[in-house]
Order: sequence, then structure tokens, then C-alpha cells
Amino acid sequence: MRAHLMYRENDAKAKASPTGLTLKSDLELGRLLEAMADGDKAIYAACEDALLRPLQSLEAIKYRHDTLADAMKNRDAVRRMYIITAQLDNIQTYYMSPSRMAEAFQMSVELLRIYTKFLKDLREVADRRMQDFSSEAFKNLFEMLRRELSDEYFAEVASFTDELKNLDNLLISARLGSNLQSVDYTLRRKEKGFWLRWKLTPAITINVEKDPEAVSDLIMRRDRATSEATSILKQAAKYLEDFFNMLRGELAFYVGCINLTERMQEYGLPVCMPEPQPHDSWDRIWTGLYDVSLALTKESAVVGNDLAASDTRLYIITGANQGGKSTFLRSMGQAQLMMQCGMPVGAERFKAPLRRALFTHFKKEEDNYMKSGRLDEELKRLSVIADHLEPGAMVLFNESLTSTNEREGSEICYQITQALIESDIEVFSVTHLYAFAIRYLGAEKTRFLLAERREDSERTFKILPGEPLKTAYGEDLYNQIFVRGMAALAD
Amino acid sequence: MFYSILFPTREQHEKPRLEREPDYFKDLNLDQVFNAILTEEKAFGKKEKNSFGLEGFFYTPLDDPEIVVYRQEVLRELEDDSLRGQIAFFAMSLNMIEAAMAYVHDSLTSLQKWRDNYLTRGQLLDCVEKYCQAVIQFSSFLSGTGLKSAGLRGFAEYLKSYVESAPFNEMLGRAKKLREELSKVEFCMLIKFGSIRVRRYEGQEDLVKGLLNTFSKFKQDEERSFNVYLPEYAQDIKMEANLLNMVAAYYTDVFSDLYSFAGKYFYFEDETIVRFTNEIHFYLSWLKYIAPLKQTGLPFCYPSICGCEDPACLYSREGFDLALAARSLDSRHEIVTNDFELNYPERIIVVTGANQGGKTTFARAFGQMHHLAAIGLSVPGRAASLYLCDNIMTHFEREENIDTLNGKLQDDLMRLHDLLQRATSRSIFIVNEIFVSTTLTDALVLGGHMMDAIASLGTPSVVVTFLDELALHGPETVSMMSIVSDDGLATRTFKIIRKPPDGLAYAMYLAGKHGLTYKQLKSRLGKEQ
Repeated sequence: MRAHLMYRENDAKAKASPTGLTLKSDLELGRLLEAMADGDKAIYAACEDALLRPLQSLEAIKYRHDTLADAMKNRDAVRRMYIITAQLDNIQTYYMSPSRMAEAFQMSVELLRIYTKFLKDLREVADRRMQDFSSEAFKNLFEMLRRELSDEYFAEVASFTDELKNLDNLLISARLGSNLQSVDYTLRRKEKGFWLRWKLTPAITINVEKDPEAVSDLIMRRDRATSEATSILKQAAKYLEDFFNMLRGELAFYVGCINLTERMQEYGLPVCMPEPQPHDSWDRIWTGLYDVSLALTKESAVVGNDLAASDTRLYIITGANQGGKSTFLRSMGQAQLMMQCGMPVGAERFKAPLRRALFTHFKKEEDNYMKSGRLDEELKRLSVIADHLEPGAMVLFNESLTSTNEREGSEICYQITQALIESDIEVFSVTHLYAFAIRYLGAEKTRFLLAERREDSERTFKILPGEPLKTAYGEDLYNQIFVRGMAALAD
Repeated sequence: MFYSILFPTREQHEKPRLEREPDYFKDLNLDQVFNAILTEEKAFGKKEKNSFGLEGFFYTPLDDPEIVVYRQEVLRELEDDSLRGQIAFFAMSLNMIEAAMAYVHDSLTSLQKWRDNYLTRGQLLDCVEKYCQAVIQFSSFLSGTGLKSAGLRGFAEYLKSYVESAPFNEMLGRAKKLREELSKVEFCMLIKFGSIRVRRYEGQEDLVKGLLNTFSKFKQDEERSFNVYLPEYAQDIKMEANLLNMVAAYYTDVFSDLYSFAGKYFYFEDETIVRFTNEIHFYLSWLKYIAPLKQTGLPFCYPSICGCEDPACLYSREGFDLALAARSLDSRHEIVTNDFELNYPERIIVVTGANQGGKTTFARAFGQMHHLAAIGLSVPGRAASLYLCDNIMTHFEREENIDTLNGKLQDDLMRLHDLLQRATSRSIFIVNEIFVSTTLTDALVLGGHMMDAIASLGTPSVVVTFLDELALHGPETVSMMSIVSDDGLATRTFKIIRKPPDGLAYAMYLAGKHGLTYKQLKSRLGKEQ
């Protein structure tokens, strides 16, 4: 029994991002995932997995969009089902150890009883709410639950759990082992009237008070006979546990999307369903695109950016330090991943092509290496990315190759960038390498963006079309911290 | 007819062997080596002497080069991992059967009457079955292997004819038939508190079959087994025996067959095969011992053996102290290897040079490889030609013995005298720092006498001494020195090389260490000026 909320039945799971961990930290996905999870580890894991497995077809994304729309409409029912499966967290695990077989046996029977209750609860949701759902995914799920969890089925389960309650008076069959010791203990059903026949059978009777050895021998024999039953019961419980976990994982993504949407609405930020385009498109439109993780960190609205670009392979973003360039780059990466896993996106509008894979190459802060060592480290990371690159991929560079002088850095950066875009790879490059940037002035399929700076030196954190300027605004930053800070102190 | 994997003939095998370690084991640290070899790791890291009775074989030097070659051939063949694995497995299987049979014999002849029961006879049947299976399998494996050594070839032929023999096949057939009958026995126990009843099984339905089916529709990807291993033997063996008696009452014919089978095959193992499975550990335990050393790159080789009449050329390339190497496995100290070569009329190596420079280690290595060669094992080194000695006379410096009340010099002389008395024309001498407790003049005189005596034996020997003069004793002596590197710090290299004695080496080493060599001093003083 499987739910197919994430993929249509028989659809293959999308490939995982080869550099998932780097993406997660460079794009600050942790914040985003925490907001989706709202404290639930399973949601976190499911959403992380989805984000780092970008879907590669418009149909697959559409399937999730439809399922998500249904979930948003019936969020109470979806959350109810999720809570039923999440009760798994409260079940204590127990271990089967040879010395505590009787205990394990009883725990297993009890566990089956609890899980059967969960199944009944799920059936009830299906019975009551099925007609409210319209998506293919949820309709199939409810049909399956009603079909497989019939009243007859619950009766069959009860017949076993009731029979296995009593550990006394066991009938056990056995054969002779290699040394003629008794082996292959199997519990046997006692037919009606069996006692009449057994009553006169010769017996070994032990003195319970005086022969503790024999008493524990009998207990061991009983344990040997019930161990198979216990392991079967535990296996059955494990099947059910896996089933609930599976269902939980399928629901988790949608619960996460609902949670995130509600959070963004709290901050008054827009959330939209993106418009994915085929892989061969080179057009992008974004309106009010913002960094979701930044908003979650600041717990308030943040600045969004707009642009409509067509036939563009290379975006070069330059401009003031602390001017919102990295934030912009992150918002672009986040939106790309969110779009490709069927999530809503942090923007008013986001129209973009699907990409085979997304890679980030961000400057590492706080690097204590010697210069040569740092360049070596940077190039090593680049080489890892290159191992996985393919046409149709997308790479976000954030101040790459600044660990050497500008001339060398620009040259390496130019050579790499040029190779990528010529191989049909979309590149976003935030850079201070002026020599690198100006080589693309007037080039085809290239857009220049600039961190906005007004006449009064005030940063707006807006990224607007604009060609590179020679200086970065480190002085601004200095002024803001020192001069303004002093002024504020004087007030 | 094959008799033993350690000797070509039965007569050689029956000659007496040393029961105790030879005296030189301690001085040469061979006690460490062979204690480790004769010990096996038991459960919980406990170590125990193994029970194969191999001590005498490891202790006793062989007097016949033919036996040495017999063993070397077997050992060389056993270096093949897959062959050795098969042989070790066979030996282990039979060793276990032997141990189990010891218990069966003990039970069936015990004064505790209840131990004489069907359960013990079941164990005997199990042993017979396992024995037959192991022997047949191994024989067929050996016959498909092109064996080279006379020893293993001889055993393979012996085993082949044994497996084809009528008595073996009769035993095999009877065991099979009996097992077939016993496997049909099936019964039911009714366990109620304090009692247990037994009847034939009468087709009662399995209680839990079908349970898993009911739940299998929830199964996701992974399958995990929750089977708990509960040992399938009874806690109370007496109860098990009684239970089996009750079962036997329902199946009287089968159990009376079992009874007569156990009577006939009370002793069923072939002595020669059992001897092989014990003695093969002589080789297996040695190879196991040296395996980690070989892994670190230390070489072992099969020495050629110079007859006693003709010690024309002895040599060893890259030899080393085995006990030291084994101790250094954990600490990963690099082991320094050394060469030596003796060409007629050279017989006596006199080692001088820096203290702590590896002289004693060199002497030990020399002795060790001669003992190892003399019992037919491989020896440390890349290549070697060694002398087949009957005994190794070691004279190592000892703590003063308070009990004897003798002075140290006297003690030295008494021991030397004793050694010379016992030495034959085939005994090797290893003398390590003798006469240190007397004046130089005395030491020189006594040392000269000693050299005369050893030289007159005509056997290869090693003398470690601070007396440079001994190295120039005569044409039979070869001078070797522990050397220090000329890096100005006189770092010890633990290399022992052929070199005329150089009285300054030790002093220079110390001086260099304190920065007091001519050069060092000139330089230091130069700066002060």
C-alpha cells in the first residue's frame, strides 16, 4: 500500500542534487525548512528531500500543484491525517532480547492494537472527507484507504490479536535436531476437546519449589515456541510503522507548504504559484522576488526585485557592498528550487525555465587560509561542481575567485564563465572583478544588474538593471557604521 | 604409507623429542615467539595453550636435512592462501569433532548413569556425520589439487584410499539411514505450569502462520528480520534427556537402531587423520604468527641447509630479530634488517661497536634463524643458507645470582665451562658480553682462551664483545660493527656491518652527542673567540 502524493504512481523519483549540502547552506535553506517544519522533524526531512530533488517535467510539477491546491483547500483534513501518522513519535521502541521474550511478545500484541486504532482513524477521515477533495492524488489515496481498510479486514486482524493474548498452556510441536535435541518449536492450535486425549499422556512433572533449573527450562521452551510468533508480530508492527512513516512523508511536504504560506501571509509577503517553462527557454520574469529565509530571519517583510529578461544566459550582478546582491542571488536560487519541487515561491510572480540542476559557488567567509591555499580550496570546489555539470544546468557564483588578485581572478573567472554559457548553462554571477565584468559589456545574451545606490548613498537593497561601476562602496559601509553610529550615539 | 605430516617416516616420528624448552630459548627470546604460537585466543581475550601437543616439535632441532626439506616443502605449499584456508577449515572441523567426541566418551562411561542416554548417542551420530562429510569433501578437494610436497601428497593419497575403503562406507551408509529415520520423528509437547507432556504430532494447525500475510500489504521497501536467536538447546540437559526418552517410547525401532549404532562406532576416527589434523597446526600456527610481519614488508625465506661437515658458506640477507619484530607490531617501529656472510675458513662473527646499537639483537637473530631452520620452518630474511645445528649454546649476561654466592666472573666462567662440556661438533655458540666484571687484562686473556675453545669446535658462532682484540683472533673470525651515522650526531642506525674494529666508535658517539667532537668543539670555540 502506497500513497502517491509526491509522484504519480510509477513515476520515477527525481535525482537528488549532487551538491545538496552546499546548496542548503549557501541558499540558507535551513531557515526555510524550519519554517515549513514548524518543529516537526519529519516535515523538515521530507521538504529538504523535495527541495533538493528538482523535478524535471512540467507534468510532475503540475501534479504537485494540483495536490497542493487540494491540500490548501482542505488543510484541516490534511493536518488531521498528518497528526494521526505523527503519533508514531510517541510510540516507544522496544527490543527483543532473549531474556525478555514474554515481555516482547505482549508488547508486540499491544503495539498491533494501537496501530490498528490509527488505521481506523485514517479510515474515518477518508469516510467523512473524501468528497471534498478533487485532485487525482488525494482521491486515489482515499479510495485505497477505504478499499484496504474494510470492516472485514479489521475483523481478521482482531481474530489474531485475540488468539495470541494467552501465554499459558501452550501446545508446541517439535522435531529432532542434529544431536536429537528438540528443535523447530512451532505453536499449534488446540482443537476442541484436545484435553480429553492429553489428560492420560505420560508427563514429566517438576517440583516447582525445589527445582528452579527445571522451571526456567520450561520457560525457555515456552520462549522458544513464542519467539517466532513474537518476531512475526514485530514484523507486522514494523510493516505498519513503515506504512505510517510512508504516508507521513507524503503528507509532510504539503503540510510544510501550508505552514510556510501561512507564515509569509503573517509578514504580509506575497506567495505565488510559479510558472515553470520548458528547459530550452532562456526567458525569466520575476516580480517582487524576495529572499524567504531573510524574511524568516527578520520576521518581517523584505525588499523584492523585478525584472523581465529574455534570451539571457549570463546575469552579471555588481555594485555596492551590502547592497543586497547575495540576498538577490539567494532569492533566485531558492525560487528555482521551490519552483522545481512544486512549491509556491516567495514572489508576486515567478516565471522561469526548468533547470537540470542547480549549483552554487559562494565565497567562503572567514577563511584563515593563506592566499594560495584559499585559491586552491576555491578551485577544488569549482572542480567538484564541474564533475556534475551538464547542459541545461544553472550556476550561481557569489564573489568567486576573489582569493587571488583581480587580474588573475578575472581571467580564470572569464574562462570558466565563458565555457559554461557556451555549454548552455545559465549563469548568475555576483562579482567584484571589474576586469571580468567589463569584458561582457555589449555581449549577447548577457544582462547586467546593479545593487542600487541613491544619490544620498542610502542603499535600497534593490537590484536593478545597470552596468558595473568601478568602485564598490566599502566607504559607504564605513560611514554607516562609524559616522552614523557616532551620530546615533550623540542623539 | 603416510604416517605424519611432520616426518617422512614413522620411525623418525617415534624418536624422542624435547619436552621442555631448550635452555637457549630464553636468551634468544624464542620463548616469546613460541609461547605466542602455542597459545590461542579464547573467548573474551583469554589466552590458553592450545591442545595440539606441538611443543616437542617446536623445541627439538632435527638432525636430518631430509626432514627439514620435507617440512619446508609442506610449509611452502601451505603459503598458498586458498589451499591453507581449505586445510585449516578441515583441521578445525576435525578438531571440533574430536573435542565433541571426548565429551561423548566421557558421558557414556560416566558414573552418573543418567548421562548414558539417547541424547549423547545423538551427539555421537552427529559427530560421525560431520566427520564423514568433512573427510569426503576434503579428500575430493585434495584430489583436484596438484600438490607438490611429499607430505601433503602422501596425505592426499592416504585419505583417498581411506574414503574408498569398505568400513568407512559402511559407517557412512548406516549413519545416513539412521538420520533419515530420525528426521521423520515429530511430536507435540504440552507445556503447562510445572509439567510437560509428549504425544506424536497429529496434524494440528500452525497458530501464527498467516498472521504476517494479514499485514504484508502495509510493507514498504525495506525488509528487516526480527528473528531473535534463541539457542536451540535445552537449559536443563536432564530434562531434555527425559523428554527424548518419552519421544523414544513412541518410536521404539528407530531408537534401538541408534543404540546399536553408537555401540559399534564408539571409536570411529582414524588415527592417522586425527594426527594430521593436530600436527598440521605446526605449520598453520607458524604462518599465522608471521603473517602480520610479512604484511609490514618483512621478508621470510626458506634457508638452504649446509651439512655439518661442510659449513663452506653461511649467509643471511635482511635477517632480523623475530621476537623484536613481533613486539614492534603495535608500536610500528621500523625493524632494521642485517646481513652476514661467512666464507670458509671464517666461522666466528665478533661484533663490536656502539652500545644500544643492535649488537645483541643481531646475535639473537643469528641464533633464532638457526633454530627455526633446524625445525624446518622459514626464517627471517630475504635469503639464507644456514648450518644444521643440534644445539645452541648461549651465554648472555645475567643478573648476579645471590643464591650461589659466587662472584660474577666466577659465574661467567662456570657457565662457559658447562657450555663447552655439553657442546658437540654441531653446536652453535652465541656469547653476549662476557667478562665485563673483570679488568681489561684479565678479560683479554680469558677472552682469548674462550676464542680458542670455540674455534676448536669448528662450528659457526657469534661473539658480542667490547674487546676489539677478539675480532682479530684468527682467520676464523670476522669482525662486524654496529655503526652510527656520520650526521655529526652519531645517530644509531642499528646496522651491523662487516668492518674492522674501531675503538673510537662508542666514545665518538657519546662525544658527538654532547657536542664535543673536534669539529663541534672547534666551531663552538671559534664562536667564542
